[in-house]
Amino acid sequence: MRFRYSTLDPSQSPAESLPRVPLVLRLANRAIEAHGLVDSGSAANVLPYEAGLQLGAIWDDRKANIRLAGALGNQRAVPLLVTAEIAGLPMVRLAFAWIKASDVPVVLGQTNFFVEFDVSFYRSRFEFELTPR
Amino acid sequence: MTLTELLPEVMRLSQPEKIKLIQVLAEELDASEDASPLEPGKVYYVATPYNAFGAAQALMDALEASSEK
Repeated sequence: MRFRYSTLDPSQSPAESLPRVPLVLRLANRAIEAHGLVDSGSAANVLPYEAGLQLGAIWDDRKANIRLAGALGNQRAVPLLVTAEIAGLPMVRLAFAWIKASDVPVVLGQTNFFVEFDVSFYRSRFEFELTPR
Repeated sequence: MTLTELLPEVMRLSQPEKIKLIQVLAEELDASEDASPLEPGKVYYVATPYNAFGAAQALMDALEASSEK
């Protein structure tokens, strides 16, 4: 299934658009709508702090047993398993590194978004394609 | 009851009931920390410099300036 690159802010130019996929994340009886940035450069899915709270998760330092490094700095993260629905595609279970920072996008990375979907980018056409594994 | 015995019963469910069953099972798996593909103690590298649109524009400008020469 193909999607268009998009911007989140109307003030951004089309050249600044990125491969974002609209999805619904569910945890227990809570659900949020989000735009996940499809990011082959991220080793893990990343969930910002506010999104985790909206899903009803409770931050517990003792559960922050994984670590992120690189562009987001060195910080601990809580693994959070979430059901993800993308219109037109099968529902999948995604493992997010939930971090205590809110100035980051919802990131869909190698573990495990790219395990669940094969991804093709067509940047010259501002399109990308997701194929279930 | 084994999965082999259960499967024919499950297959008789309506489509909405099957979707609900998938959700219930997924939520139960969510509760199990051991099921996470993220490994405790491991460091996950995030390479992408997010929101670096200024840098991207500067690179595009440099490319365009270069092609004009």
